[in-house]
Amino acid sequence: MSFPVWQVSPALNGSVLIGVVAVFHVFIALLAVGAGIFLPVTEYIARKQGRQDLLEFLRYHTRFFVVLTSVFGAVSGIGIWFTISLVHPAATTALIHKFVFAWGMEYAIFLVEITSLIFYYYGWEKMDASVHQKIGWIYAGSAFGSLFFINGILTYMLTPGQAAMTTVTDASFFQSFFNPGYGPSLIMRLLVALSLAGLFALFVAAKLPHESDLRTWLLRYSAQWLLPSYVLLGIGGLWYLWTVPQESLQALTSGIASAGVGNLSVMTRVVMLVGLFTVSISLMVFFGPYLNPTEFSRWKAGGLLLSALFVTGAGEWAREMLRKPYVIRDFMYVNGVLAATEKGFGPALEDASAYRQSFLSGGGWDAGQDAGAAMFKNQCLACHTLTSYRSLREYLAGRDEAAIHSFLQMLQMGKENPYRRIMPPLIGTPEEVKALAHFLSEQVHPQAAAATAGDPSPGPRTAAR
Amino acid sequence: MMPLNLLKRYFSPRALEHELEERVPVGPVMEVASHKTVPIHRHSYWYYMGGISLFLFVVQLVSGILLLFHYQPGAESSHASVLRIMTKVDFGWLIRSIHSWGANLMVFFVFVHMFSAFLMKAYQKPRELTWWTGIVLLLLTITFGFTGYLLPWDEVSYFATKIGMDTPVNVAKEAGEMVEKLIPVAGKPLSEAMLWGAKQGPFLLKGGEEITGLTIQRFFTLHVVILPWVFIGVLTVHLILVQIHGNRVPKAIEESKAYRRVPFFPNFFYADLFMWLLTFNLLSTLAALSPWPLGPEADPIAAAPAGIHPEWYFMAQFQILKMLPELVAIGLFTAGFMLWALVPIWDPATTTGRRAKIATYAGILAVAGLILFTLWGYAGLHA
Repeated sequence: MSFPVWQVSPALNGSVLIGVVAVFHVFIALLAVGAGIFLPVTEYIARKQGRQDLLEFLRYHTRFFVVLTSVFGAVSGIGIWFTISLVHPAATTALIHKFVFAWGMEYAIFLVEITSLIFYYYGWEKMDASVHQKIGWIYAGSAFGSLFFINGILTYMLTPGQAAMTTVTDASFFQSFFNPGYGPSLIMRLLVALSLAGLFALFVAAKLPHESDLRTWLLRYSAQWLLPSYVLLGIGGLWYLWTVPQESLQALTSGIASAGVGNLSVMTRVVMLVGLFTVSISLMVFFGPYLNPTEFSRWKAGGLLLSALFVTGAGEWAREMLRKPYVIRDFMYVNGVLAATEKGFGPALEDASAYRQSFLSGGGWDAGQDAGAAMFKNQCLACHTLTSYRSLREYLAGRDEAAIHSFLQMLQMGKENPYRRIMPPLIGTPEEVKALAHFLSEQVHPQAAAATAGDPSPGPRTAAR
Repeated sequence: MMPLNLLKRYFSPRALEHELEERVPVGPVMEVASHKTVPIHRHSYWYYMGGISLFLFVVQLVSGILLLFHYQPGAESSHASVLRIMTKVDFGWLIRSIHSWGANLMVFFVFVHMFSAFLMKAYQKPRELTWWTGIVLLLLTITFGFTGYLLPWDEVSYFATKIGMDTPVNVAKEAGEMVEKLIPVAGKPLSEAMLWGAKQGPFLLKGGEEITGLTIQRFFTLHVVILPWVFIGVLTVHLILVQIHGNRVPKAIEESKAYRRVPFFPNFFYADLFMWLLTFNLLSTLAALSPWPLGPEADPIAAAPAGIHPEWYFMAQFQILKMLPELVAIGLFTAGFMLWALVPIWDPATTTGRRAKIATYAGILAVAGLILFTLWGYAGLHA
């Protein structure tokens, strides 16, 4: 408990907030990477074929990407930083210590990307064709470069491999950066980026007049940008799953036989949808703009883009969920508890007393607050809300305070804890755990709590400084 | 060289096509398909609705067959087998969810298809038979929903079926009381005859006075054997009629000539495939993110659960039934439906178009009324 945790509202926790910001950012960022490659490649083809109409289209197309990358991409990127540093400062600082060079490089390359894009846009009419084309290649290279660097940090959080941290500075940078998940993730993200570029070009091209030859050419051409995904996305996906830790794979398959609550079955369902949508988008592009460009309309292109947004969002969500119960695999749990510290306590039940050290005395951020509320905020809120996303009111319905207390005690049982693969260990003294049980019981049964509000029963203790 | 030549001779795509054509001559069919065209105009997206309904019917057939591998009809086994499908069989929950959500989507798209056909005047001469076969398909779709609803044998399905089965008897009782008051001597026997008559249908379906294992058996037989074959038969006639008469172009668009025609194959066929994939995405998302629930096993001697209500497609009728005497409401539904079904006779494309205009207003009123009473019904549940 080295940092304060920000509670957004009872219905909105940090992971939901990160999810909302991240889905839009990842979608825009991947689209920008894809477009960064699409524009100069298509310009090269247009100049080689001497197609003035295509160059005019690209000029129009570029304007959108200036706005998208420099405004929405940059703002949502800052939004992610702002959100993660408020929602999970412990994990953020650990990653900064480990990957400061990679992040620095990503910033520098992003600056090159934005600058080259602006030159690329304003240079359509003012620059010599060869210079403009060269700036286009710089834009493409820097767009890919930003993906190259951020990919190492993102994949490390799930697949650290041999470079799993026990402290924030151990294991070499390169060993950590080029972790087992790096290769497949880079390939998959690049394929998605190229596909998004193609899909967006379809959306823009569908607006051109039906009778124009350029429209038909562009629709068929843009559809082909999804071709690498047809061939390689499945292979990339299998490679990626091969690098995912066995425990995460078990969680991933937990929803095959049942869709019940209480496990991570929803992850199975979402991953299944990602696969299904990927195949169906490919088929829709094949039967739509590729085989039948005349009947392809803008609202159909919009439907494809929305489907792609869904796939991107669902894929990112599933990747985040695969890490559970960690925020950084084998190093830090989502509630900020360090895995190494837990291992130091010993895995056996007889050593479980080590889980019962005081949690709230750690930082004193919530001093004076209700102890149960402080425990909830610091150890539950990373994954659960009271009333909406993974709602505790729903999950704990039907359990009284004693049953909730028993459940919480189970989360302190080390290897004997049946939930250890999907939930982090609970740290806290018996009093703190009891206070948490009382708080949760009040939240789950608010009417009963209101009815007994006047009772002189022992109230929850306050958090110690 | 010799084996390569033989290979080319007998296994080249052209050779295979020729061999296939000799045995299954699809050439004439392709010839007909290449001449069929579809009008494209600003309302032509409504033409997709029939295709989507057809696609969902195929999804229902396939998912239903898969469920048959594990479902066991019977008072003792229905609920247990569905529970096993939901919790033990790999992806069983998904197949059941697709079947349940697919049924709802199919009802929705059949309704949309019907209203769009109505507003485009696709019932007018010479398409009367297409309209009537469509009405039969709508009734069959709803009957599919009603018979399938009981099969999981959970609390809600049991009581919903009971309410449905009791309705004709309740209406006959109300009508009988009125008849007894209006007709002094013959009223009583007439009323008893009406009640007896109203009981026969439900009695036959239930296999007795109560809903039991035999009822499940009969609903199951209807749902998986009789209805599919009847549906496929009527659907075949409906599709043949659509092929003969083609898609109706709304009169105003036809007069303004603001449309073009594209070949059905491949252009519109590919567009149909696109829409089917989009529909399948929607269906899969609903099935995966909101798996269809299974309630506690039906207990015929328990009280009906509080707030029990029908599926959304009967919600408007349910709300009207709450507001009016049952007899009046059922009389209104029957009369309204008869008028709706017989509209081709009343509005056979007159030269003035006055009746067509009235029919358009009636159609818009019907859609608005259904939406309004459905929303009102749901608002009443949460009041």
